[in-house]
Amino acid sequence: MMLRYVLRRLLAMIPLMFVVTSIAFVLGEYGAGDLAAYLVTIRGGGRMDMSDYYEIREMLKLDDPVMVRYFRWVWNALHGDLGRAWVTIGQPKVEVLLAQALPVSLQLGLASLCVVVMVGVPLGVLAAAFRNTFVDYAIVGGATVISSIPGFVLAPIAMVVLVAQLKILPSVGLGWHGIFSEKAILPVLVLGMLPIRGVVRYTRASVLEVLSQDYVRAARARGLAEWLVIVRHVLKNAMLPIITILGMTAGWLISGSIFIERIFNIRGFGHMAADAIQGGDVQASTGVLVVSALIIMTSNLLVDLSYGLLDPRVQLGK
Amino acid sequence: MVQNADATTTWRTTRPRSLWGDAARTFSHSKAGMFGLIIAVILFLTAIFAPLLAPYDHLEQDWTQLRARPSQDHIMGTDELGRDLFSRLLMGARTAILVAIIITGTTTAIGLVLGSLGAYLGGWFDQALVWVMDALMNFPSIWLAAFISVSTRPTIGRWAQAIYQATNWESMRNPVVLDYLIVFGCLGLVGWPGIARLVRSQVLSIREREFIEAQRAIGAPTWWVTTRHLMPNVLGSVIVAMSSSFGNAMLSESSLSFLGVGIQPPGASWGNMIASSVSSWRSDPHLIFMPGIILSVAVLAFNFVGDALNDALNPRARER
Repeated sequence: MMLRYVLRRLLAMIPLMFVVTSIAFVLGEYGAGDLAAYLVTIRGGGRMDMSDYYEIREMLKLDDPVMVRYFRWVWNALHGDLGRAWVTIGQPKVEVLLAQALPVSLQLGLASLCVVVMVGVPLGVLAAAFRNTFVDYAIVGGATVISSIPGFVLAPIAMVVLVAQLKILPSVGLGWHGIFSEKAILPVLVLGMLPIRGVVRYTRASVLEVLSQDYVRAARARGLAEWLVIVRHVLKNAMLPIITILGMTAGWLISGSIFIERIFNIRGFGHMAADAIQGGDVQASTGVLVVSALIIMTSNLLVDLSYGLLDPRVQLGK
Repeated sequence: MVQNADATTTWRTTRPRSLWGDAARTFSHSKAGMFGLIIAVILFLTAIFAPLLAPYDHLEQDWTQLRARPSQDHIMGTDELGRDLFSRLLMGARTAILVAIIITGTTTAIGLVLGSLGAYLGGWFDQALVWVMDALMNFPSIWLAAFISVSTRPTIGRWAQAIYQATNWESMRNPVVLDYLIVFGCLGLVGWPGIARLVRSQVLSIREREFIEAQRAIGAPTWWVTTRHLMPNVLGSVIVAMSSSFGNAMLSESSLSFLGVGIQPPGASWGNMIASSVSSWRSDPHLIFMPGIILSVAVLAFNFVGDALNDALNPRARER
């Protein structure tokens, strides 16, 4: 049952992946300018040699129709070959770049997700428990304020306040020294603050929803203390919707990483995306975009699957 | 008997309360919402009157005063090229508001049309629409917008050149105008699926509700049901979505400009102002803080307005 559902969902991702890849590919095609002309100019030191030009066009098979090149790209991508990042220095393979960048961002992202869970969920529960009081307003308002600050503003503010003024953190570590290095604290915290508003509000709403259920009233009627009601009865049932929002944070964390990794000079996925897009490297940009969409799709799939595992009422096959 | 007569009079003198009146009353009771609204109004006024308020030309460079501290001459100091920061901030507000208005307008228009078409037509059109929306929403939107911005720049540049040759409009040769056009294009392309999906699902679900069925049962014509019952119910959530899209558009424009693919210098945008001073955060933090804090306050204001509108216009979603 479960297996069949997973298979069906994976199959359903195929047409979506086609749309995703064709969007990324077509955008790249129409923007690319003339890749061969660019490469010849670079090679000739500013001068363009026409025979070289045709040779390179021939080599890159740029004269084939768009459809042919698209399906060739898909075919190669399925075999783990995303092409070369022609504009990037050294012209590395895109999959090699990704293999270097993704592990870094994965650590960063997971650590930030932990921050989101450990900060956002308890705050949301607190806000619901003290609904419509000062505590509630302070938590929801504070989360809204923090999340309204864009990552590329929050990062420098955090650097100035925490490092230069208060001197809580030793110095701003630029670069990546592993997730357990103290230089990772600031990027992880800043990245984790970006989705906090959504998580707090969503947690609060789902806890409130559960609090209005009859079994909560029954638990209160039995004379259970309010915190016991929340810990024993409400939290478990409120967990499911909270997982949904945690799945959605994957997208926010990826979007935010382009700024955070840039500012802290962490050579991860976001940094690679910024380099590829700003440098006009079509191959690398296409690869980066498709992989990012794949990650977001996968996290959505994981959320749906966890529903089936955690809630017996959800019938996944239906 | 007497009581009965009283009841009748009260019933007669009570004026009917409209959805919008109720919404306005709820909205005005929300402190955060009113705060946001006031900030938003100030921003709009600033954007409109920016050239009058600005003490200097935002492009004028004073090379004797690079990165000057706030002083009487320059109340917020100057940037790395000696341009007056306050004047640039005011013009940045213009950019942000202009982009937000145009992007919200276009995405809402596209979303309304495509979303309701999808819901009404169904069939292959709806299926294709859902796929395209899902595909677009699976990308990190800023990344996609940045990529579109970079990859359409040469093409749009050629178009602008062609328009210039055809019409002799001087503005088509202005690189800043080109930046604007590109930003409108890529944010519009990336932003519409959110509203289209909302409209589609709202139309689909409201169409099935009892009060629409009741209207049909008493023989109301389709245009009546659509304009009097369907649209007002969809409109509430669309207005909420528009207000949050407004803040998002400002944020997206600044993000693109920060990445160097949106409004580029010398054009004034809060994003590119932050980008050009982020490396000197230790020596001149005020160059980041001024545009950064104003951008954050603007986004916050529209978030507050959106939340308050949500409470006011979606009574069913209101928290207990």
